[in-house]
Amino acid sequence: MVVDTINVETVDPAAYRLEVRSWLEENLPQAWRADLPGYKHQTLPELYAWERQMYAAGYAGVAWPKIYGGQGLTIREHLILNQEIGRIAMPLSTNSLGKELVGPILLAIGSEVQKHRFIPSLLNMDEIWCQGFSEPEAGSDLAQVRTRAEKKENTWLINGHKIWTSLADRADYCLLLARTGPIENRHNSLSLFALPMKSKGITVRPIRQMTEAEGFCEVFFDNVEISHDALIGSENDGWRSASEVLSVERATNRMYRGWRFENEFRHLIQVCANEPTLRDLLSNHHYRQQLAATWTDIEIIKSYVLDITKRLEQGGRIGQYGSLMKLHWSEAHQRFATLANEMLSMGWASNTPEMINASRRFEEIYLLSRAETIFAGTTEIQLGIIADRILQLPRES
Amino acid sequence: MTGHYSTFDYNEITKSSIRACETCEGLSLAATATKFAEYGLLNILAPLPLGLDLNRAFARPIIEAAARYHLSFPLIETLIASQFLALMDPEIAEQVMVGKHIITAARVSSLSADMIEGGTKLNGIVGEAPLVNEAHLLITPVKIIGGGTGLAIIELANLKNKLEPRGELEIGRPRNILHLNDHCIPANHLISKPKIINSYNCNEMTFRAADLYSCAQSSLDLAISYISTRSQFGQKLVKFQALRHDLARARLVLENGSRLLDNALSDESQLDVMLAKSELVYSHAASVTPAIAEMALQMHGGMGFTWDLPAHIYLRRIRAQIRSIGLAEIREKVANRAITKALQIHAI
Repeated sequence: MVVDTINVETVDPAAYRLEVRSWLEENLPQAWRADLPGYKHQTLPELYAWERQMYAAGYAGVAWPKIYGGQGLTIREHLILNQEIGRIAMPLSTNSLGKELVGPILLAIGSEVQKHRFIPSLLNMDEIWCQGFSEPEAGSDLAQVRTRAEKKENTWLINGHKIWTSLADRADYCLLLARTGPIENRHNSLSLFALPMKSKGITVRPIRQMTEAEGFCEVFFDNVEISHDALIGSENDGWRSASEVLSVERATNRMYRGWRFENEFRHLIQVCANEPTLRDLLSNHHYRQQLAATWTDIEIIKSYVLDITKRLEQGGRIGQYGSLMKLHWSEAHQRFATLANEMLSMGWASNTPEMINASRRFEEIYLLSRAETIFAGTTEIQLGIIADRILQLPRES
Repeated sequence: MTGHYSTFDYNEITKSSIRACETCEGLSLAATATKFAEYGLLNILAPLPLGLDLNRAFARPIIEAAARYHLSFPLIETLIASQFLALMDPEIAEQVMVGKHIITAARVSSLSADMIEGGTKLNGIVGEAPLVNEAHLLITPVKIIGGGTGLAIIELANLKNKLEPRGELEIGRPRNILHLNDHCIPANHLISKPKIINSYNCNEMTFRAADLYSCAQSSLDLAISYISTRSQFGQKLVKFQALRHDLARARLVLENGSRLLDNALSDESQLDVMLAKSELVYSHAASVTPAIAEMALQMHGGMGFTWDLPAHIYLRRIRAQIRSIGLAEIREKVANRAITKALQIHAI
């Protein structure tokens, strides 16, 4: 989250919340609300149009400076918007990497030209971004990145192979992390690039995911030439600069998670209450204890987010705090997804629209939740960060 | 920091708490009470003019320090009782706050309270309470004949022969139950106002949670210190990823608890909201802290099972508190609130 401290507009938080809530209620198609019977999946063009509509209404890039297409508000409004987005079971962003990763990095270390060139277009969904970080030999350990960017007279020459690249099959640009110095320098010879995905020499190969969702790919770069001005930040300094941004981003992106989790919890309870075959579960001691634990988990997530917002408002550092929240959220959400499916499975004989929709939604959530402890740094990586940087456990004998 | 005291005051109380705990190591209960009073730590929550009337968040560093130094003195009971004793019996309240009277509390009882002319007659059994054998006063829940529940304050001076020992899971805090037969207490020693009872419960849950987290943190610190220095198989234990990850998980859980505790201590808006938050934080603390203390003990190998290593002291303290307060019933309240709230707000 990059907050513009110069051109911040002041708004009444309660009025802003009401405005956002009303707008979402009025504009989000009923059939897109995952907690309502009659739900139907959206097409990609529909989702692009929806996000464009949200941006036009002022609900994207909320805390980004106006001169780059943002709304010029504060982290507080960013939080309120996220709370309202979480509260209503609306579709996830189809350009989340652009909005949550690329935008903040460009705002922090990009050139003025890059900021003006890329930020408005990603907010307006005119350009979709993917993230080229992971490689077959460098998944969680990005110090092993081998994709090279070689500086030529007028261009950078890119060669290598990226994997687990979400949205690469539809992206217009890739935020590429590539080696620009000797690999022995580990993180200190990595640079970031804005790489046009239409460039000659790029091959995108889809990877079939366990959920069967599209958009997961591996990308091959074979003598891809991009201009010098595609470099974001300083040469060999891309990772360090990006890491600083990412430490905040890990804590501030998808701020809606706690409130979306709460929406899912409420949905489950409501279905159980309405469904005669499930109603007894709500008075079953075993399930009540688990529901209490889930509720506690949700309150913890929300509390993390509120605390992070407060820290940022006071100019404090987030540091590795985001790892704690990410780890807790991802594992708690998996536990809940398992619980929800177990409870709903006992209503197998019911064929009400509400029950059918809930089964669909929570099965999807269950499958997707398996990725939540993998993406954005696996559980093992987060535990390593906590051990190394928060507990500061020694590494050497 | 809310209230009319600043972060500076909070830091000062934190320092005083640590100094008091260091001074009190090895002292008797009575001497500990006196020392804590001298450090000005027993009256911080009591209303003016007897006390300082501070926000209850100021109790946190005192409780955390007492848990870290595993003091057996009934600090939480004293802090909570000082709030309402000052209003109902200032003379006794003063004795408690200067450390001359020690007060303890039972969480459950089968006592019936019959309000008679000039006082209240109690009959039944007071559930397990620590240190009743040494304390001067006991707070216990009662069922009021004619309806309702309350809290009774019982002077223990002439009741020592009515005690029945029930074990000493926590070192230095033996538990007893107390049999009462037509025992009379002054009328002003029965509290029946729901607001005071809820406030008492709210503070007890929150403060117990602070104690439990502090014990678990102390256990974690012990484990980190041990595996950072101990070598096995030719290398420091701290290099083994399995151990590093276990410690990281414990840290995560304690940070989660800290979020809930901050939340419970910061909200002073409505008593029912505060009560909900206090039950939430207690149920979390009671659910997660035993495993951390047990893990810390396990990481020490054979050392963990020795008397000299304080890992067992923290574990005992955690288990004893959960035994006295309970968990299932409070978690059930959390479940009830969660389900009720979910049904109220969500419209499909």
